[in-house]
Amino acid sequence: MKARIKHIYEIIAGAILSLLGFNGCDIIFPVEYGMPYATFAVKGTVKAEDTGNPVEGIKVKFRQHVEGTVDEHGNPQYREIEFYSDKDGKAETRFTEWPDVKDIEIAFEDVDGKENGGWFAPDTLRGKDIRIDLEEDEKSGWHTGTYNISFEEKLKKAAE
Amino acid sequence: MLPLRQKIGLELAKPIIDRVIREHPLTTLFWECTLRCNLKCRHCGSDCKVTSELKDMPLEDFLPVLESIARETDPHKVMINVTGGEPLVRQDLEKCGKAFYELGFPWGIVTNGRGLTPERYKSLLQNGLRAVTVSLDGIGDTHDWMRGVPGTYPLALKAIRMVAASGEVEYDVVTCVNKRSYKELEQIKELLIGSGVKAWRLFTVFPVGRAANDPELRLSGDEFRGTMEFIKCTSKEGRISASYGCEGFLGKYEGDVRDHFFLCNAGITTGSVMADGSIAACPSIRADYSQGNIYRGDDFMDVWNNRYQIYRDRSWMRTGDCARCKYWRYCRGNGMHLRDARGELLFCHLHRLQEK
Repeated sequence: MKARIKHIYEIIAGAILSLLGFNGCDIIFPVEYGMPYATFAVKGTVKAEDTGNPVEGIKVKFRQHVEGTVDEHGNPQYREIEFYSDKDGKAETRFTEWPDVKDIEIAFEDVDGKENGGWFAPDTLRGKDIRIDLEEDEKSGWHTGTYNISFEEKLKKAAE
Repeated sequence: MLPLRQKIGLELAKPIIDRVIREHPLTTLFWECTLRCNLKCRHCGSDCKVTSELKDMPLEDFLPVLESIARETDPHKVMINVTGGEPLVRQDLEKCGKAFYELGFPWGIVTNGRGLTPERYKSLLQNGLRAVTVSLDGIGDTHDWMRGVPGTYPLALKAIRMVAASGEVEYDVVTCVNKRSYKELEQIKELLIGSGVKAWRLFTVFPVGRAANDPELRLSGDEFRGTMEFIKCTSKEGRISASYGCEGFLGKYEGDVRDHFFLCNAGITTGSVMADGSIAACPSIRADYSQGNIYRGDDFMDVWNNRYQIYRDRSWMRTGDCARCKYWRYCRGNGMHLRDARGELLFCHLHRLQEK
């Protein structure tokens, strides 16, 4: 409750400061040495292509390349965030990162063999198979907003 | 007397600033990676030399600091500012940056630009560089006079233009305003705008380091007020974002010459690891106020969480002129770097604004 009151106070104070010609909420929080960053909310479902049933226990890897960065061999460097699908086939994670979504991919890997509906082949989603919506409501200071990233994955069975 | 607008703004902001002080979230970490430098700046607050007796801190000594931070906070929200000396004299800067990047920390450099060639810049970008601050202290000879080495002006300008044109990092230009560069502020402004620069930070010299006994570096009251008016007018023009550095409560200029109201962030949101391993608050603060040392086995976050009391409760500073000052509630004793070994205030910005 206390935190909520504080939050409301800060919103109102920020609005009045803006009306007074100051720099809104940023006037309170110095951003001199800040860095742009975004919240990434990645959410989706993993199902079996043949039955349409949810698949549990699939390792989902969100991979992001920040423009310009390379690995020790001079190849584009990717940052990876791992998470897993639950019993309803839902997989989600939330984190903050440099706000760059030009080159992202989501990879799927069956790590429990034949358990949970069989053995599925690995797959990777890119480009228009990944939906990206930028929500700017929480944008403030260096925070550029929240990227809501969603996917619907249909896994093929692996060859025996 | 504060104008009503400033007074309302400062009062509204005060509870929020007090909360930030109470919560003291670490958001900025300076790493003094070397004391070596390729210039001889008149105003330098560091004890820099071309070759320093103190060796550069090895990356492997600094990494446990970052691991300590990453265990307790989101590393993406803590900016590593690599400073010196001159960070570009370190040949392993890319390796350091890569390690920061892989741990999830954004990082940037504060540089004089002399060594920022296109090749070096590209190599730094490839290793995760995300912010650059380049110093430009005047036009031509004025810059070289300040930096102590002839021929550095074109190199700094070239670096600024390259960074501005690349658009790949957050960057700003910082200018130390002194008696010489004060006369060139309009010219510098036009030069920066013409070079594509979007953000310009101006600061004045405080009486420590090499600047302590150099009258040419210190502005008169009129010149200091003139600098504030210049920043205010430049900001209103909207062609370049100009702001005054982080120090000093500025009375009627509060909120108009900076994006934020005054708060000395040392030990509140800003920590440092110095070249000798000291765990400090801001690199400009004298060593007397260090809070620990990584070479004595101190864990950075343990120090950050459990020490730094002198930074978070500054009531001990309320002596002398500060005890009688009606603006204490907003100023809280000015910047910690302006306190001498006995805790006495060396310089009051508000007084300087009122002087002739």
